[in-house]
Amino acid sequence: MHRACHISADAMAIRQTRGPSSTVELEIEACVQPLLQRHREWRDRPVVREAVERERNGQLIYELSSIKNTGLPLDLSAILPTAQVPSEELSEDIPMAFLDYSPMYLTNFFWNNLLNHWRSIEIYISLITTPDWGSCEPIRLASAVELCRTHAALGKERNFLTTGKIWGLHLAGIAFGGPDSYQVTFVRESCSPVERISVDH
Amino acid sequence: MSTAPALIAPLSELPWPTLPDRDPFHELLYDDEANVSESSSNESTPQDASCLFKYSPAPIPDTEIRPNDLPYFNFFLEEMADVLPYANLFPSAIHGLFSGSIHHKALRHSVLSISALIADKKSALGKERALEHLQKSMTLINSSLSAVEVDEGMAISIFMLAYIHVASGEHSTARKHLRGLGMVLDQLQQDHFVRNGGRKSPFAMSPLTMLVWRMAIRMDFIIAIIYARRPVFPLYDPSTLTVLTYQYCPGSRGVPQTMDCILC
Repeated sequence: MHRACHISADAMAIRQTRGPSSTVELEIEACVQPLLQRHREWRDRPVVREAVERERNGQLIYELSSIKNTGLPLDLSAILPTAQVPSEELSEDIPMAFLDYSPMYLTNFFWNNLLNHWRSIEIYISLITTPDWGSCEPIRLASAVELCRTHAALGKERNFLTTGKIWGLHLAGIAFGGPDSYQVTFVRESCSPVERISVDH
Repeated sequence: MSTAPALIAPLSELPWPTLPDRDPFHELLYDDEANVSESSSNESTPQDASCLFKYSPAPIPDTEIRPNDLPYFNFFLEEMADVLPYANLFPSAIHGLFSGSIHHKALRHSVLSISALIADKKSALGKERALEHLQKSMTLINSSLSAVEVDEGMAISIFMLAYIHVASGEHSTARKHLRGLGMVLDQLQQDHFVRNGGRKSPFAMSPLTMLVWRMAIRMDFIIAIIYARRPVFPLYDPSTLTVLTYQYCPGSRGVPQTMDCILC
């Protein structure tokens, strides 16, 4: 992130001193590409791949266990990850969903917080080359959606806001484009324990 | 020659948080010891990364520490792991900082200032005590700088001053402190370079100071983002950032692999 801040400052300085031109943008792009590549290489590290796999398995088991008849000769609830097992008695254990996206079932809060930081940086780097909010960059938008889905699913952990989390949510807001692109209103459905966000656009 | 009695409570009387016996993230990402051995090396590392001073000098008595300051030490030990960056990942760093403050007057006042600022805000007591300690710490740091006597305790003190100003919303002052911290760190490296016969070493400073350096870099980019400014610290090679954090991995050869995951 520190490196990204430096390159962002360089890009701002170049644009201010030389004005808008395709040459300037190509120059900035050339600086950003190695940064982006290095940033994405993080996901290829063995330890990160392992964490992704564990999270994926945890979610798969959870989803299977939520199906009444799995057709399997065992009770999957016995091997569920313990970090975020929904309870029928405690409605707040049911993960929140972001908009109409399906809820995420997290097994490792630490890892998911970390991944959201990674997504924040992804959005931040994309803003160096395209410093426009609400621009339809698929990767930026996907990162913002996943960041918000994860944040919604973090549950109680979500309430412990750090600078990094606030910054990530702010960047997601920029990716979505603000109120001109999306009018967001909060609606709590009375019949559902799951707090949902209704969106009009 | 008589010396003033120390007003700092003995360590044994202070509440100490329970520390995990091993890296708390080990279970998170490792199944067995196989991966751990991959990251082992023959390079020697300091025995106790949380130690600021290789040779502990005698505690420095301080008549300016009042008995009613003692709760701030407790607060520092109990709460700061949730406040300082990365301290929740390395809880023993807080103990290291506290231990360092016993031997370093400016650091002690910085510790008290940062604790008083946060603790008194929670209890609505105001900033008075925090500012008193801040003033004392800055006076001591200025005296040392005037005498060109820099040490790691001073570097950490400056970091804490920067943090205090960030927490107070004075980001411009915080950036000035970070700039000063950068100069002190450069000087410490240069001093070690000279002492080491002109050879660079990853152990130019203690692992704790390197971790504080890493904390300062994090603070630097957060301020830079908020105020759309260029970071104060220079653009570091990624391997430098790695070294800054890896050195602070007491007793676990497997941590570097884990830290790859932690630090983007």
